[in-house]
Amino acid sequence: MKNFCIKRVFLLIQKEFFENLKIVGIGFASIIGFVFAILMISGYNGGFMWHYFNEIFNTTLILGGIAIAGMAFSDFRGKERTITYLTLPASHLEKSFTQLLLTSVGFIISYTAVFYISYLMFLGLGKLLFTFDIGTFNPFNETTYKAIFNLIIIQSLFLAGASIFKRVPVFFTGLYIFIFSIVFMIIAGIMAYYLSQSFDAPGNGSIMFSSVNSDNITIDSLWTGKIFEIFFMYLLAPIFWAITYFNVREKEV
Amino acid sequence: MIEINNLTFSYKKSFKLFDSLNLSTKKGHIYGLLGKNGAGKTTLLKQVSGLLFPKDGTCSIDQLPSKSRSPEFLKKFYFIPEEFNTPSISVNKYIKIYSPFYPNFSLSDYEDYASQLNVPERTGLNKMSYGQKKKFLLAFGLACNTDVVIMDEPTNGLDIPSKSTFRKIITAAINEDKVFIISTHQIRDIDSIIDGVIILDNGVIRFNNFIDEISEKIKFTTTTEGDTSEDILYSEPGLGGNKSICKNTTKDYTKPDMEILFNAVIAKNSKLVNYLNN
Repeated sequence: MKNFCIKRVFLLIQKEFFENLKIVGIGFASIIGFVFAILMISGYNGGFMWHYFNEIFNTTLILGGIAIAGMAFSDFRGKERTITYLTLPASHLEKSFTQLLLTSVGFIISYTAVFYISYLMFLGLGKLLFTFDIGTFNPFNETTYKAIFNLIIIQSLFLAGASIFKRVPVFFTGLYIFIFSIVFMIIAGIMAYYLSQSFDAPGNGSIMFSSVNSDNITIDSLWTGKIFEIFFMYLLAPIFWAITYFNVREKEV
Repeated sequence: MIEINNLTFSYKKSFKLFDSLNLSTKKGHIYGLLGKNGAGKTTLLKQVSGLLFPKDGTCSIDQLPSKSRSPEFLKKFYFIPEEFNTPSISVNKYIKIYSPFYPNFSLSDYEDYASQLNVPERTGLNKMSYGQKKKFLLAFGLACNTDVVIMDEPTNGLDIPSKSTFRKIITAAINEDKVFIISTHQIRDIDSIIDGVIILDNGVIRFNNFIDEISEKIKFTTTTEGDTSEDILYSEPGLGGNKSICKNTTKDYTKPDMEILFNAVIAKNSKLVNYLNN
């Protein structure tokens, strides 16, 4: 495909990595420091925090992932950098895909790896220094997978925000999400209400059209929930990835 | 090469900067895009580079539309803006990261240009002065060997020896397959190297001629104050008499004085423009 060349994607990844090497280094050091801090605090609190290591990991993964997605398209933060970025011979699709790849897959793998290695490093130290019972940390579990899945959905919004807002995109995206979610909930609620009238709701998990019987309208919260679930789980992220792509494509200086 | 057809563009709805603007460039030439501040030079260059989109009309390089910003289109040109922001990496790293995007990039060309312009080697770009960064970008941009090189005020920030080297390099780098467009309001810096003159005034191309054609048709002389010869197309007071543009009836070649030509065109001297266009 003329507009998608994997070699150019690798070149863009290389560009992002070397230009943000300092930030990557600070990020890794922060994770190591954070794990060390958990250990030290736990040491003086009978291992309290250490027992919630998985929960702490999931929470920080989501928060870090949001911050990283919000910091994507850093070249759009200044007019001069935007010129260099937009005139760089790569397609809009490649540029958007690179940012998506780095902020989702790239971030999740590197964050998990650094967190896990730090855990292993400080596990030995903790055993030497403290007497509390050190629980096991395993990032490969169902809860983490769910957290990653949700993170990718949330990140899509912040990635789109990063392609739109020139200044503090994390803040403005958060603000817009807040406003939008209120408006959306009202609209979606109304839509779901009317949609549910067109469906038979047997509650067995299968969607079936039924003849609409106006005398016997039943609103099944299960179906409203299903519509929301389908939208949030499977449609929201692709929609916002598409929005990101179109923003990059239509970007002017 | 570069084709602009019926380009219409405005920043504000109430004021059209370009209204059905047309421009075409030919390969093998160095064009000087001249104009006063705010004439629309940078905007025009941004339109050509696909950094701004036309409200109407088209811009293209080798029939590839600017608006598409496809990799094929972006490989065709290198844009050196007046103001730039370089990443905090070394010169070598920059070359390693950015050069693979340009298939015709030549490291030996870069080294040649960089040594002529005295670009520091292995230095962090963040530690360089504005002028040094500009020289680096000029060397890098020319070494990319793209068909079109667009330079916006390239001599701003260059010291006097570097301006001279810049002229030398540009003259050596042009070939029959390339087009260089140099936008400037400092005409003296580039008047000896350009062979095409485009004068933009308030979003309108008032003048678009080659130096050869200009020299053939007009000559630049000094006339006395009372001279009312019909051959005089434009004159303005200068040291030791009037600086004048006259019809070249004797077919003498004189080096065009870009400043006076520019002033004549900007003063909307229809007598001169009509004479040159006929």
